[in-house]
Amino acid sequence: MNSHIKGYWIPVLHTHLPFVKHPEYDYFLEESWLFEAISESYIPLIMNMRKMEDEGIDFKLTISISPPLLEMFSDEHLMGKYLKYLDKLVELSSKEIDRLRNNPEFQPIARFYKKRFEDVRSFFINILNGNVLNGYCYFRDRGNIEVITCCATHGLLPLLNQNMRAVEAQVSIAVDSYEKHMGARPKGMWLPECAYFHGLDTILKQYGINFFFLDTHGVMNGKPAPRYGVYAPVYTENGVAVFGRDPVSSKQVWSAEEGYPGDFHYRDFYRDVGFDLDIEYIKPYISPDGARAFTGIKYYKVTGKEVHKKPYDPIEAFNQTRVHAEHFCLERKKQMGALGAYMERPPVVLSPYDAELFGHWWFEGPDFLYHVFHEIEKLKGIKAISPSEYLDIYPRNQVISPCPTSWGNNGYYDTWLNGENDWIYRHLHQMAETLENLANTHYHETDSIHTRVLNQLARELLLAQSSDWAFLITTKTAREYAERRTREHIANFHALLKDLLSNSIDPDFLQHVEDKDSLFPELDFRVYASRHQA
Amino acid sequence: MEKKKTVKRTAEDHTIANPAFRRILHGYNEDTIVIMPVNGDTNFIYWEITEELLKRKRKTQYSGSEKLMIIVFDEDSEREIYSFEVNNRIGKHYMKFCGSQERLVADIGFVRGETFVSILKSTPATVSSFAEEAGNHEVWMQKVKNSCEIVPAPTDNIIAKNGLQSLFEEYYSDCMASRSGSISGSMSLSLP
Repeated sequence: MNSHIKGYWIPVLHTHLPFVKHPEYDYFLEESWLFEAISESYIPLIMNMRKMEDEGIDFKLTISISPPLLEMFSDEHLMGKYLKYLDKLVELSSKEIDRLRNNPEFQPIARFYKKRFEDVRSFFINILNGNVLNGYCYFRDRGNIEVITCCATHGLLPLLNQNMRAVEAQVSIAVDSYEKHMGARPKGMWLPECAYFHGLDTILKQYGINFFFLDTHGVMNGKPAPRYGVYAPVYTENGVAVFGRDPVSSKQVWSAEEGYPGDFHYRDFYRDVGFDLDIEYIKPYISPDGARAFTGIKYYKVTGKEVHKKPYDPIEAFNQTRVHAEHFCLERKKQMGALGAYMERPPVVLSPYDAELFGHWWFEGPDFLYHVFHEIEKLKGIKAISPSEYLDIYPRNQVISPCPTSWGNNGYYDTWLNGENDWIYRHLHQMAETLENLANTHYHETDSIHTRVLNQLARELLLAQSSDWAFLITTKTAREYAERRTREHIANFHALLKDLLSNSIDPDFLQHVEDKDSLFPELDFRVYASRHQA
Repeated sequence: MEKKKTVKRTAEDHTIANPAFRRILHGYNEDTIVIMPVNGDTNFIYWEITEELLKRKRKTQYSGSEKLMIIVFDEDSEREIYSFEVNNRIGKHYMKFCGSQERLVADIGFVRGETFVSILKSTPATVSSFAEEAGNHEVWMQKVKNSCEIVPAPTDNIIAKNGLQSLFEEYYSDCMASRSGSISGSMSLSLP
């Protein structure tokens, strides 16, 4: 242990999007969620890691990558569409440079975008070799990031635990997917929405998960009360470590009112040329039916509360990330000093964020992180660390029973279970029960088409369980799509089930859903069996 | 949104593209009652009771004229906590209850005379509350590789404990007060 260390900082970026793949369409609006996240968050973050590597800056991040993302990163169809998406952006930015040739205020911003899109495209093709995962693996192998997993399809486990096989399948399939893509077993797991229930740690332990994260109150309301609050991890009764979110550092970034992303110098997310420019001009770059959509080209800064926005200045914004990084680190140092005075070891501060906050929502977020690591290097005394490294140094921790909670609004499950979306759970529970029974009775199934149907039933259940659908229904954003997806997977499940039970399988339909809902190609339905366990 | 079809989809023609296909079942004709926690003071209950079950019960216990009802009780103490009448074989209900660590069971049945006659029970759901006082007994564990052993707690003095407590109050009161809005992990914007 280094005696100069005043405290440890664990920054965690949770990286997740639901599985969205529509091979039947040339353009599908919701597929752009992935493309925007890759271009605006994942690649800029990896590019900044590379910059820090070149500059000799030591950095340490923990990144959870959900299995649907792992699958989508490796999906040839989606990555082919992603390249076309990038080509379109380069084309649009070129047209913008021409359109703004007599506008000295805005044309430099158009040039900035063109260069940026070309850089992202080149980085994706030449450095990442067409798969974002290569970037994560590279920095994992260098020891800069700890990559952990998340549940198979981001199912909210406390709402699925009517059927424990469904919960266990979410965990075991995630571990298998991680091993397939990352070549090792994960040590940690990001619980979807940080949602926990009593007894979940037994399953996590069974699959070799050493740690997970909870929101502040999940630890603080544990029994007995944790002596060091969230500033040291605790163990569950089964010896799985739990790190609790530090509310102070979270608020500095997340807060809509006080958080850094709302600074007036930063780019305004909502003013996008997809909405601002003449429809005939912008039509080739938005939805083919003319429905306006974000393009990623945004010319204005937040400016303030006034309607009249000022032009965005990328250099000014970049410099502001340095100011905010200095403030963030200074606050951590003060916080760690205050806490450390009362603790027998340096405190650890956990700061978990959605990865898409950095770059997608907060355009300058990756530069903020870049400057934070620069600042840590300068300040000394603060050390960024991964959970596994921390637990190696401090294996002795208090045992508590964490409180079932989530990190969503109000701290529990309201966002995913309310009058708008509660209809989902009756189906999810029934499907899980049905699949468990089928897995038991067909455990020794040898017929290949029956096996394919059973495996596809498991995929349809997993896709229906994605917490994203219930979330989007509640927030009324992409609600129609979220409802449709939920209904589609439930309907596919029952159509396949009917075919299986009547022994009249429609091979065309089976092939169609296998191609479309194609995640986890190696999935074995027997993961749902409750008998025949070794 | 204009959708350009690029592949022939015979399967889709009779399934996914047909909106009628997405009309999912309202119920499953399976007897079910489930209770799930929503938050510290709300639980969600859904149920389905089949005609077959009611017919069977009519032969022995249930005349058909009694009102069906659901009672929710604490599994350990068997104390009744909440009850309501049920008018439909398939339904849902939200119940308010601010307890602490009770294991709640929902039981659907009917009242005959003074007695509640159970038809179907849920598995228990555990609710949690901010209200419960924590115990003082601390257990500490040392974990090296996969081996865990119980070890003595650190010997921090009372001043340290008080100092930490006041810092926690400063950090948590500020942030917990505003957590319902501004520091939620999942931002309510369109990208999930």
